Amino acid sequence: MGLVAKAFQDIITFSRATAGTYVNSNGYITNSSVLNYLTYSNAPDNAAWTKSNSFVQTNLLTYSQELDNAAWNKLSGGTGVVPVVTANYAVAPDGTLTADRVVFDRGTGTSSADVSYIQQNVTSVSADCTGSFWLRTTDGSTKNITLRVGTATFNYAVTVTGTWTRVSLTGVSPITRIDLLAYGDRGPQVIDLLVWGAQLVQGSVPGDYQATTSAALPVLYADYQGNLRARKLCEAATTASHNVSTSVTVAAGTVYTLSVKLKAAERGFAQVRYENGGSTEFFAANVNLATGAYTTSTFGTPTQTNAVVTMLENGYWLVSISAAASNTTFVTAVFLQSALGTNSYTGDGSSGIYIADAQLNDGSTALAYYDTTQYAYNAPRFDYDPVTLAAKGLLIEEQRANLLLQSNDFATTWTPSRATVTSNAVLSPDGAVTADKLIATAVAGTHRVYQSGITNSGTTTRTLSAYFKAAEYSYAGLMLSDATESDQNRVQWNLATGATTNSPVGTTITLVSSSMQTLSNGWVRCIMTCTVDAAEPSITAWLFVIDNTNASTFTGDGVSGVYAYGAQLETGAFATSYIPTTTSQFTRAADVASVNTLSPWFNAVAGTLYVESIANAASPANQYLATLNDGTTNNRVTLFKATGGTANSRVTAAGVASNPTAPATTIAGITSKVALTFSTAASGVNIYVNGTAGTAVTAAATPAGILRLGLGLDETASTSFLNGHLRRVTFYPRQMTSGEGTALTTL
Amino acid sequence: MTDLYLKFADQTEAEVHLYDFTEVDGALQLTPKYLNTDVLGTLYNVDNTDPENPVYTPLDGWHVNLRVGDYDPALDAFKVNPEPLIWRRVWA
Repeated sequence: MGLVAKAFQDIITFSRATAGTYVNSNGYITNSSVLNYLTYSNAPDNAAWTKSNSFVQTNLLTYSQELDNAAWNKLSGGTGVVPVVTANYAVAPDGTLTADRVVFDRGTGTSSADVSYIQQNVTSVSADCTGSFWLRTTDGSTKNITLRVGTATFNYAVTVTGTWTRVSLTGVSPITRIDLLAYGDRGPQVIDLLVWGAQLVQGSVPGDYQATTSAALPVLYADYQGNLRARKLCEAATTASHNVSTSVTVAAGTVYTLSVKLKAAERGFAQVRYENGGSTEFFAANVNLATGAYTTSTFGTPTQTNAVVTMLENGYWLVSISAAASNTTFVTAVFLQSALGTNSYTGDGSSGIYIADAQLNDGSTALAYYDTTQYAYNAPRFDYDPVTLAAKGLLIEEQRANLLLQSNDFATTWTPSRATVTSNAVLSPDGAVTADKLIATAVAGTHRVYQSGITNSGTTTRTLSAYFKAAEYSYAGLMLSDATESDQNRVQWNLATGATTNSPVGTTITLVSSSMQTLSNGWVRCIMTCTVDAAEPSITAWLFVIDNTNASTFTGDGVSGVYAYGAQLETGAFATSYIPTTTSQFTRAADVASVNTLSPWFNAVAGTLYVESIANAASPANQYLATLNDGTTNNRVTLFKATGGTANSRVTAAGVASNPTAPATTIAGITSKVALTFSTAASGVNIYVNGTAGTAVTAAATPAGILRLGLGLDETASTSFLNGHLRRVTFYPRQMTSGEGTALTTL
Repeated sequence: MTDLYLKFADQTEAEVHLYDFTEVDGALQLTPKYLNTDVLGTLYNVDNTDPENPVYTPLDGWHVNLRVGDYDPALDAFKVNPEPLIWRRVWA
C-alpha cells in the first residue's frame, strides 16, 4: 500500500471566522493569513454566489431513492388504487440495498382515467427540465409505464425490462412535478417495478445521478483527482453573458490571486475574471478548456496582472489570475464562453462546464487549495515560543474581544496624565517600529495613560495586559479602577525580574492573579486579572510609568520613560493572544478544529487516544484536549484538563460512563502527554498522564456512533476550548497495555 | 459570510432568537444557535466632560453581533438601523 502525503487542510476541518495573531517562527507577533477569502469556495450553487443567466445543475427532487417518503405522493384515479411502496426491497444500480418496490394497480378500468401513480411536486421552474428514474421489473418481465415531466403534454411510455435502465424525459417550462404513472389504456392492470434514483434537473440532459434526502442537492462530478466534488455550471437559454460571481472585501492596492479548476463539458471555453467594485476595471483569462491555450482581456487599467493556466489530471485546468485590487471590493467571476473570448451568446439552457475549488488568496501566485463554507479560511495559528523559537503547536482559543480602542496607538483615544507619548519609537514585538514610548513629565505625581468608560454589568472577571520594554525606566504598571479611582488595583512589575508590587485601594476591584511573559528583544507581556464588583458601573484601564525605585509617584524629566505595545482588556480569567484594535473594539472568533472522516483509521471496538499539549495554566475551567464523540456526551472518548489543572477523561457508551481515576498529575502550563485507552476487556479503560497510570475500570460497552474527533473543544464543538496548544494527536486502533501507556506518555 | 449587528428590545428577546433552550438536570441551558455570537448587551453613551464623574446614558436595546453564513431571515428585522458611523465592536 502506497503512502499518500496529506496536508493539514486535507485531514483537519478548521475554521476561525476572524483574523487572529500568533508568534511566528521568527518570534514576532503577526496576523494570521487569509488563505482563501471566498466563502463556499467549492459550492457555486450556494447563495453566496450570484448566478447570472446561469445555474448549477441540481437534483431538484428530495428523497430521490426513498419513494416511501411523504415527499412522494401516492395517488390514484378511476378504478386505480394507490401504489404500494416497499422500501429498500432490492439491490440498486449502485450495489446498495436501496431500490424500492412499487406496485402500481390501475384496477379493472382500461381508460386513461384509471390510473395509479407516484408524484413529486417541486417549486415551479421557469425552464425546461429533464426528469429521470432507474427502473426494472421485479419479476424480470417486460412492462410499460409512463414517465411525465411537467404538464401532461410531456409524457413518455417507457418499456421496462428485467435489467436496470435509466429512463429520462425533458419537459418544457414551467415545470412543477414529475410522475410515474400506470394508465388503464397503456399497460397491464398490475405493474410491479423496482424504482431508484429519481432526478429532475434544469436543462435537456439528465446529468449524473445525485442522491438526495430532505433537500435538493447539486449534481456532483469527478474532480481532477476523481473525487465527486465538482459542480456543473450551465447556461440559461438567454442571449447574454452566462456567469457565476461573488465578491469579497479586500485591501486596495494589494495583489491577490484568483484560481479555479475548470473542465470542458458541452462548452469548451471559459473566462476567469477579476473585477473591481464599481466595475471600472477588470482583468480576465479566456481559456480553451480543450488545449489550455488562453488569452487575456482587460478593461480600465488593472495593474500587476498575470494569468497562468496549468494542466491537471482528468481533463481539468487550474486557471489563475492575479491583479492588484484597485478598491476594497474584489469581484470573482467565471463566465461560460461559446468561443474563446466570446462571453455574450444565446445559451441553450443546458450546456456547461465543470467547476471546482475557487480560491482567492494573497500574493501573486495560487496557493494550495483551502476549502471553505460560510467563512473565509483564516489560517490556523501554529505558534512559536518568542524566545527559543521552538514550535509550540496549534493554538486553539475561545472567542475573546479586546475592549480597548487604539490598542497600539497610545497617542490616540488614550488620555495622558502627567505623561506624553512618542509614537512608533522603537522596534515592537511585531518586528516593526510600532511601539510607543510613554514618558513621565517633569511634574510630581503619577504618570500614566488611560481609557475610561468601559461599562461593567454584574460581577465580572477582567484581564488587562500590555507589552512593555525597559527604556530609561525598567518598571511599569497596569491598573484597573472605577471612574474616580476610589476603588483601584494596580500591579507594578520589575521588567527585568518579573517581581511585582500590588497596590489595592477599596474593595470592589480585587486582584486574582498577575504574571509576566518574556518575549525576545527585551519585551515582556504584563498581565493582571481582577474581579470587578457589580457595584461598579464602569472601569478604567491604566498603563503606568514607574521609576527605577519602583515608585509610582515621582517627578519625571520629560524624556525618560518605558516602551509600550499592545494593550488589551478582556472579559475572562486569563489573557489570550493579542487582538489589535483601532476605532472599535475587536472580537476574535474561536478556533474550531476537528477530524470528520474517521475512515480508515478509527476502531470503535478498542483504541488509544493520545494527546500532547500545553494547556493554559491560568484557565480555571475545563479545557478539552481531544474528544471522539457522536456530537453528544452520550458516546465519547474524551481527554480534558480539569479545573484543578490535572488531566481527566470521560468514556461514555450509550450514556453509561466508565471513567478511570486519573492520577493527580498537573498538565496545565507545561508540555504534557496524556493517553486514554478503551475496550471492553478487563481493565480496558485507563488514563496515563506524563508516565503515570490512572486506576483502570472495565467498560460493559464501547462508545457507538462516533462521528468525529474534536480537537481542543467539547463534544458540542462550541465550548470548553483548550486555550492552549495542541502539539500531537494520535489514535492507535487498539487498547495499549499499561506498560505501553506509561511508556507512551513518559516525558 | 455576513456580519449582523443586532439590537433586540431586551435580553429575553435576544435569547429567544439566538439560543436553543434545553433542560439539563432540571436547569434550563442555553446553547447559542450561531457559533460566532458576541453579546455586547446594553450600550452606553459616556459623557467624559468630567473624567472623574462620567455620565452614563444607556442606549435602548440589547446588542449582539453575529458573524454567520446562513441565518434565520427573521433576524433581519433586528439589524441596527440606522447604522452608526463607527460600530462599538466589530469582528477582527
